[in-house]
Amino acid sequence: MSPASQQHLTTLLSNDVLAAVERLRLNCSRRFTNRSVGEHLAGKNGASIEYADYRDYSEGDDVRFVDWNIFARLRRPYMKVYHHEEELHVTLLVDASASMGHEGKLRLAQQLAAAFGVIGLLGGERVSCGAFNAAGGGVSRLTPGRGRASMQRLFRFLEGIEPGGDMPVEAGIERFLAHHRGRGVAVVLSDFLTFGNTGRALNRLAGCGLEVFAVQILGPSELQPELNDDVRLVDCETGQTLDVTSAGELLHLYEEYRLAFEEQLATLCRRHAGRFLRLSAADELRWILFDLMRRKGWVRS
Amino acid sequence: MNLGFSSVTAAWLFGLLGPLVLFYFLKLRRPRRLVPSLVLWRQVLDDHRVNSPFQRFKRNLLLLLQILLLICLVLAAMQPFWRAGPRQAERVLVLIDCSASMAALDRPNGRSRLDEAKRRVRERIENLVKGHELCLVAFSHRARKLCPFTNNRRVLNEALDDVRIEDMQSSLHEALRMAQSLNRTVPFGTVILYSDGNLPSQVDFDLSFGLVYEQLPPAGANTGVTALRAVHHPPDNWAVFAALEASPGGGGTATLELWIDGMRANEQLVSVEEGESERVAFTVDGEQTAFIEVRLQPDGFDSLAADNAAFLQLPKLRPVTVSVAETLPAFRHALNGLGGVRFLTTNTLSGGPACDVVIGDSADDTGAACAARVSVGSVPAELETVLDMTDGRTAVVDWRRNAPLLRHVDLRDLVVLESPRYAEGKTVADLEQKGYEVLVHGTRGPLVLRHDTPGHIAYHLLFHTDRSTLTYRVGFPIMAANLVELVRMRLGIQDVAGTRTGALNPAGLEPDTPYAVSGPDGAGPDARSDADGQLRGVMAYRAGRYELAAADQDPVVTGASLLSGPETRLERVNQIAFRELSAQAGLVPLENDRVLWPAVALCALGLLLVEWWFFQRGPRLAGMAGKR
Repeated sequence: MSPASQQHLTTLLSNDVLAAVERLRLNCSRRFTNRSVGEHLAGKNGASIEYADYRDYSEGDDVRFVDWNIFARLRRPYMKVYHHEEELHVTLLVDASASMGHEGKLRLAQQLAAAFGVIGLLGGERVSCGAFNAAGGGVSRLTPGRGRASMQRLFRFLEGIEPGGDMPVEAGIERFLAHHRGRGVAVVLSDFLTFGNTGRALNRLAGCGLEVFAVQILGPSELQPELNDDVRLVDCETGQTLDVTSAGELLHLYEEYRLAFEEQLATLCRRHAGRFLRLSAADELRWILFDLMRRKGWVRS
Repeated sequence: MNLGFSSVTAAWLFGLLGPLVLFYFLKLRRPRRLVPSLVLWRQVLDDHRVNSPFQRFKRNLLLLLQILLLICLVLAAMQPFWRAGPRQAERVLVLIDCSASMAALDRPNGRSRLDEAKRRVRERIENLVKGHELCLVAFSHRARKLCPFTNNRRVLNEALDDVRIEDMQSSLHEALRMAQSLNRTVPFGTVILYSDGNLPSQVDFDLSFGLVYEQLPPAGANTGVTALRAVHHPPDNWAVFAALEASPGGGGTATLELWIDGMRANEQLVSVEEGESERVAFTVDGEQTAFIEVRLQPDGFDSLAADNAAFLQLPKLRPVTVSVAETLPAFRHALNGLGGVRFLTTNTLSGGPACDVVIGDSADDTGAACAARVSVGSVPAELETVLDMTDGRTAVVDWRRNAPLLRHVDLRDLVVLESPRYAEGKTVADLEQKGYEVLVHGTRGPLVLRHDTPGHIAYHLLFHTDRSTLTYRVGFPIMAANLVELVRMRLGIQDVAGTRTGALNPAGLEPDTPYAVSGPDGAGPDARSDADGQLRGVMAYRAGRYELAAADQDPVVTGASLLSGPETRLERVNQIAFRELSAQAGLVPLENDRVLWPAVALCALGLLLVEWWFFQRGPRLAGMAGKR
């Protein structure tokens, strides 16, 4: 290892980026949380220090939460109600199939997963991770962890993801969910280029109490392909071929279909109160984390 | 099917389609592009194929373009052509009218009819397809083969360039005869006739081939001299008559000038009406020979220049010298009353001067040199075996009323006391066999014979006029006057017609002398006069002045004139009747066989450019097209 790399905690994020990421927090729109106590306020009343409301005293209530000042003034007991702080489960799902190995898509997915993981860990959430890159259709998973102590484990897991396999993202999600426990946020990092039913997988995520943060990462050649004349396209995952004649003529159609596909994914996410973001593998990580995602309301300081 | 191919054997090149397709698919190794997923591309292609029914066709568009390109090239190699009609034959004889009227212009400084005919023939030559041959024949009064049957465009164009106007009247019969003779050696099926329509409406000819009569557009208005003639005007003058005519739409005023020996002598302002003949007369002194030229200068546009001048060579007038036997006082008495007759006192046989007419009743006179001879009361020696003279009264049965000697002469009730009769077994055919023509038939045999030889004419009155009532008849002095006029005609001092184009026969030249001939077209071949001082065989196909120059002598000027009414009137015949068939004029130019290989080759070039464009165009261009 070079001296420069020894100074970084991970090869995925530089130290300054990591330091900036540590100050960010996930901005969830829904309150899918674990029952265990955490740092996220639950929708129900709890025992946090953040005041919520008053209610009449009922028999059996903890008298420690009676507002005695009001009792002294009104001679009737009222209970102070506080927000309940619960734990959020941040699930990082990284599509590491062969298609993600193109043009640095997987690298960006790993970086974003690391960033979301750090945000979750330092926000007091439980963070688990899954990667779909097994040649046999299996899913590599990282057991849930919490706190700064799990950061190194998360980095090592993410750094070890190698692209490969032909597992579609929807199949990977379903296999991951088969052994998943916990409610919270599911950050899906994939190109979503699959022949399968992505909507069903997103439904499953929502059904498991996970708010979907879908990030579609496409390479520059997928966003603006430079093709003309006759060409034989080879699917890097399946090896299937497709002969395209006069590809240049079809570029406008391709663009239409890509935009329609993005819109379809965004619609699916919105249907479950989720979020969707399309990124280019060529986009700068700082801009994504500290500009784009802030503007989109994905994270907050 | 009007489509034909000149080189069908080139069709084997279609066999290259097999290797083309084979090599195309062998070479069609599309560049492979590894892509993350085919999801979007498969949707795009499915949608595009649904929306574009020709997508499958477009998949192999390059192959299709290459196949079309090869087909075009092979078709061009097969040299396709579009047949203009069923008349088209492999060999076509083209008759080009080059008579005088073909020089007529359609407008001032316009094109002549011959130029238009040449343009059409040249177009036909340019569209000549392989295997088809043309033969060009130009005709006016004569037909001239310009080139044999060939498809060599250079030869044909050079032959066409050689066609020149001949200021002659056209003779379609001559052209058809030449076509028929050509047809015997090189069979052909079609003859195309290019003419302005100045042709006879009936031609006594059996067509053994198809004739296509293509009539050229009409020319402009024309006025010209159609006749020029001089008649002896007693006592010593010539009366020169010129006839002027105009073509349809022509006419108007003009100035007719008379030039004598190159000097303008007189002029008249004339007005010529369409369809009428205007006659103009001049009087010219006949005491000297004179070269007469009349020039017509129309005030308006005149489409034909060749008929605006006419020429006439007038001889010096002199009296007719006559020698009459003293035993024939009736003849002397009859001739004495005529003007322009001079009697010779001594007979030529006795060594006197030569005379023009000898009238005698003695067999001794037959050897005298003269233009005309009248023998009375004797049978020519060569006819003694054919005719017998017997005594006895005879009468006139019939006579040749249109014979020059007997014009206006009535021989009815003529009594002749001598009776010439045919010898045993002899008939009039025996006379004709010896060159004699019977002018007057008697009851038993001929009474008057004519024997015409070049330069000499002899009349034989087989009875003696003293033994007949002829000298007492009114017709006798008429016959004597006819004789003198006939001799004047023979001597060329009675009636002189304008010299027409064709051949110059000038007389009175130095005998046996070479002459250089120059005419309107420049110098021609030299000619040599004969022993009589006459120049023969000098062709003069263009109207105008001709000059005959001999060494150390002043040049002799003569001229040739068109003098043809049909040519001047620019008559147009729309239908020519032959013996069994007729040919209708086609005013619209005949369609030629259209050579298609240049168009096919052009298509091939276009396909090549399309293929190149299709192959070379970039994705940016396609993207722009998509945005549109």
